[in-house]
Amino acid sequence: MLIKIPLTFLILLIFFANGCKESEKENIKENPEATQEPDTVYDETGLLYTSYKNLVMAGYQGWFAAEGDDSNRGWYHYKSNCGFEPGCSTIDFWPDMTEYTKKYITPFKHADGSYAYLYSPYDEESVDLHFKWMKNYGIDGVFMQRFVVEVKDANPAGKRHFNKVLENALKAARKYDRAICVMYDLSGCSSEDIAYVKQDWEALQQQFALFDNEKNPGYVRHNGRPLLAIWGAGFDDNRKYAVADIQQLVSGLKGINNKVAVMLGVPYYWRTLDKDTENNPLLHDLIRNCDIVMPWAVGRYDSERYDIAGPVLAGDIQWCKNNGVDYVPLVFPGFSWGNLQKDQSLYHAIPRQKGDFLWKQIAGAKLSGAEALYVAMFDEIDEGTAIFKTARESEVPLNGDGRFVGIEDELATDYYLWLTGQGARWFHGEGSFSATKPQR
Amino acid sequence: MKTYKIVMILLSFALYACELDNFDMPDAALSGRIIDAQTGELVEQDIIRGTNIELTEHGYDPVASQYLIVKNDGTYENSLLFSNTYTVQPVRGNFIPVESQEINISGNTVLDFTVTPYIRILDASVVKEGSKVVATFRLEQNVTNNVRKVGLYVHSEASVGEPLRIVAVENEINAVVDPNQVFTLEVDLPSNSATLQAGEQYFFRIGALIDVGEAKLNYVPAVRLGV
Amino acid sequence: MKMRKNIGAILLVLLLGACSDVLDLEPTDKLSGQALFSDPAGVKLYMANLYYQLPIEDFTYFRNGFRINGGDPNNGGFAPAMQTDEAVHSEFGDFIGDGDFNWWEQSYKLIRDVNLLIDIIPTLDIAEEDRNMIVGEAAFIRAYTYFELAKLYGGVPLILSSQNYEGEVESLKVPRSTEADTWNFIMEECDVAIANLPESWQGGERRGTRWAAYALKSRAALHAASIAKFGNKAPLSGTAVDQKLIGLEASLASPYYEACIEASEAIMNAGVFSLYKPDPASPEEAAENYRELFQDPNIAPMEAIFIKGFARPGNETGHNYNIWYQPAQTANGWPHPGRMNPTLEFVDLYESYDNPGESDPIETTVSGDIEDYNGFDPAKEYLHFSNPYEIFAGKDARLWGTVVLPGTPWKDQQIIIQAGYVKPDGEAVIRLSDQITVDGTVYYTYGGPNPNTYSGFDPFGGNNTRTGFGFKKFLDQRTPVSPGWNQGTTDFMDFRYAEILLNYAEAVLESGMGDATRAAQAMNDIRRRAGHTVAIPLTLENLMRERRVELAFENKRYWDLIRRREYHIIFNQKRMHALFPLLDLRTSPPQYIFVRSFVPNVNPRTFDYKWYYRPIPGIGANELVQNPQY
Repeated sequence: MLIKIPLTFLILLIFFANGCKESEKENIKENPEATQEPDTVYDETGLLYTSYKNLVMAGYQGWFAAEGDDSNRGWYHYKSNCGFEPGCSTIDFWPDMTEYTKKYITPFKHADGSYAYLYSPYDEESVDLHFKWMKNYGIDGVFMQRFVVEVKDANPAGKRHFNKVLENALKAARKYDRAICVMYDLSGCSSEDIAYVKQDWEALQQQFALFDNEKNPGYVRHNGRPLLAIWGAGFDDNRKYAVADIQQLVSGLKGINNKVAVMLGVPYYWRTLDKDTENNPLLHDLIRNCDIVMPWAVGRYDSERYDIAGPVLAGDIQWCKNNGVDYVPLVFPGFSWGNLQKDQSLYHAIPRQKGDFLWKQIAGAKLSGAEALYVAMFDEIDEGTAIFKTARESEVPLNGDGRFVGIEDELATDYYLWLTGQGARWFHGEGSFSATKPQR
Repeated sequence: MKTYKIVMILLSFALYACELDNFDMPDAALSGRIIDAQTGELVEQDIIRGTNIELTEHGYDPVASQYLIVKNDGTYENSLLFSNTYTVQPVRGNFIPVESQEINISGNTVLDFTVTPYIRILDASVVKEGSKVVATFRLEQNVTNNVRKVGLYVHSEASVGEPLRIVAVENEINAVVDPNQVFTLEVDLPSNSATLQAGEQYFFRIGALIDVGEAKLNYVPAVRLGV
Repeated sequence: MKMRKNIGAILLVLLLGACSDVLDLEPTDKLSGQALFSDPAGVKLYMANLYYQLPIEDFTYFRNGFRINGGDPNNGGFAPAMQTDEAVHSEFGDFIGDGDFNWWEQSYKLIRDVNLLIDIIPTLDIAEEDRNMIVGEAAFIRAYTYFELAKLYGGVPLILSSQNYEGEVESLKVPRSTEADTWNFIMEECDVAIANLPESWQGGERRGTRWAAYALKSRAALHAASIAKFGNKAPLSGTAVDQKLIGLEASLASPYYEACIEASEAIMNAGVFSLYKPDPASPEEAAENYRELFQDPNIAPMEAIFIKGFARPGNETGHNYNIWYQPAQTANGWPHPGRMNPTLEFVDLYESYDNPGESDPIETTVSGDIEDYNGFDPAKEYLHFSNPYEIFAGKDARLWGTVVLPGTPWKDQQIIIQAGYVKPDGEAVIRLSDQITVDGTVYYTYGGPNPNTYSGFDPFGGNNTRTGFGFKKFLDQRTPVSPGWNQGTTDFMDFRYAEILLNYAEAVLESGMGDATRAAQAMNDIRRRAGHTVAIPLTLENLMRERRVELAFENKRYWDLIRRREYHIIFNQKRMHALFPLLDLRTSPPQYIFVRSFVPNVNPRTFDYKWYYRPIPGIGANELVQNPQY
């Protein structure tokens, strides 16, 4: 599956054979002598993660800021459009603040009258703690989310924020030997914004020496090249950019020497081109041009409706084998966005069931033949998919007319880190696991 | 001569009647097979309430889709189509869903679908043993979902299946099955004497259903036996 | 004769005027609307027309629609019960078709008529109190109508004010709302009705009351909750699913069950309602009480929450239950009686008093085998009975109040239901006309010499039952049937207290919310009224049996199978069952034996998943997204 030069050759052949005028033109322009140019060869000495295969990695939002941190962004992403006070917030889960060394007092109080605190990923200490957890629980690492609309030149505060969080993360990844990779999220982009990704990506490489084997030995490689993830191709939700824009971006990023490996984040029904997916066969051409495909499964099923995933996984894996693309399914612990949507019926919209739901997906992916996992997400508390330590139901602060939700009282706050770690062990080939959730 | 006149009258009536909506007749056909990607064999189906092939004709909005039935042996054909571009997709099938495709149908268009059935029924045998008909088989499942049930279905028609049977013996499984497990289903003839008449020939067919929404059963070909 | 004290002016207006021209005229502009509504009599007149159009699933409701009581409404008497496991038709064997249960245009016509009223309410020069009542009534009618639409089609276009055609069609096209939004709208409309309607109307007029609105909410919320909870038992796919036009998220089950519990509790706590004759002295008394409750619900104001009246015989005012479903022997010259044949599976459902909490299927053999439907077997040892109804001894009183059992009296006749006999030599003659003389007595296969002397199994004319059971519930025992169209005047209880208790118990049981003790009490109160003396635990099996038995033939079973997504499970090549009473001439004196059999000439029935939602008509013009697989 990881044959290098012939694969490129094959992909291009398929591409040309397809006869789509736009893509053809584009390829000729970008890659006039592609078949003659050798792939870029990287020295992999000292690298910790030379393939996504067998890894279990999570998405890392890192978008929160706290009033009083150095980002000067106030309660960014914690606050709602009505402010940040009881009854007004976008988060459903509340982080378990026990181990944070740097924390910020909030306007929220616990039932006993004590104030509740939050962290800021702008602080090196807090990101360090998160990577320490990853190491302690055996989770391989994270994809650092980079929202294109937040890191544009027109948004200096956002850019400063995400660069600082990335800096913190790279440092912590080095310290704890964790895998790390950049993931661009195209949500909200226009066609022009997409072209900007290449510029930003080249700047990042310079600024952080991303591919320096000594400085960043944990930066994930795949198919012999550094991995870059691009999320948001083919969604049928009226986006302001087209599959062709991403096609152009990928060609540009790879260049004539196939400089990077690309993981593409696509909708759940990418293969059958229906439901959440634009009915556009070009998406399949784009995926064939990438190295890994990662379908977005959050909200596509709950525990009761997980039966839809069996055929999807089996069909996707078969398609990927036939087309020489690697496949990474997504798993998530549950979903809750009552406060974000200001709708109390959406608390625990997809219940966690004490980890049964997460394990069902881990086992479903593994038993279907998946070789790696993407966990959504490490620290996402707006949509309640976080696996990091969050307060239990009985420990969350009061929230005016609404409430916060917590993980089940019977569980330790680190339970979802632990359970994800067990999944990682299974994917590493350690221990003995099955469809039955492991007992702690 | 009399007949001729009547025909003429009918014809003129028909012509008159169609003056305002004198559209073309269907002029195209679509046919093909549903093939198991691994074995190359046809994927057995149900003719009623089975897999459908959804056809959406281009150029009309809104347009109601048409649904073609697939025959028990896994082939299909429809010769009452108009030449045009269609979006075609098998739906509600007994195999992992495949993507839709746009095709131009004209003349006799052939379109095969290469699929992975949810379940393959292996080493199937249906024999009469004394006053029983006994079926044995193994299952190979291609998705991680539970197998919901297995069944032995009986009818006087060759198109027997779960939806078309006069006698059925079913076992609820609701589990992922071991590929080595041998399943046995038995039809007791005396206790079905009102429906299975001694001396008559009937078709027996083994089926298995995966626990996937809207999924149809997978089958092996029916076996004809005298009871 | 029938008590009439509950019938006020409104109903008379409704029924007398229902088809006169004045009601077909819609107010065409504000002025005439004003003129109509500023006069209380005008309001009543308009309101009567709205109630007349209300899709109440009463005695005029059949698979081909509502109000099938005009002119010559010959639809074969094919009631919705015959497409469930409650009954089969005596003659026709067909099952649900795509054309059945459609009520689209008629619903939107009613909605338009209500919206015209709603639009004009703020401008009316009437007392605030009267205005509130009209607001409540309009909301009740609109909620009721959208409930019917949601049951049939899922999410539908929500038209909230009257539309005006101003030369441009596109602006009139309203897309379907999601199923969740549709149900939420129904809940909100119920709340408006509850807040504004009076507890009763002066003079006892049969108009929507606060209690009827609570009852509507109880029923609708239970329906929605069930779809949320059980929808994934019958998954569908397609555009309508992707756009959430059909289907409800599982997480919505709890709030809808909660709404059902609250609405039901409001009625239970009101102190206004109770069960009719709750404490009978004997099963015999209970059976008679139960029968009388449906023969004329006006005797039970404590139980009836909302009654649809059929005040006088005639086109669009009477109904045809009495003629369609009367046993052949009491048809009184009517040529097409006996259509409703309760099935053996329905009869099997009932408990016996000596074994509370268990259905007690009819055992016909010494071995007690109830799964053998292969017909008479001379080698089998059948149980013998000296009269044909002894086999039902000790069964729940409601069986006797709902079904005409073989050999039981009805209108001073003994209703003969016999499928054949076994000759002294052991040869059985079943469902064939035959006679034999044994020891000087002539015996007939059907129990009588000619068709007006029996009511079972003779296939001629479809006038005889082919299941072994006749129909009794709702039929008036007191008078001979008038052998003509639309002569029935039995009133119909649309909402009654027992249903509310059962809705409550189901919502509590399915959700885990509410008061489980009170819910069990509710179920057992209904059983006590039916002559049971032993309380049974509130389990799903017990509750669903109780619901099927208590609410039998009230047009609930179809929706219960739909909303709980059980139709395709029960009706999967389902063969319906009958009980054949045979006279055994091998014994002397002859005795009766019974053979459990398939209903003759009825094909196996299978429910298609797509039928959980009906097809929307006219999508070529209205451009709505069609439901799956139509």
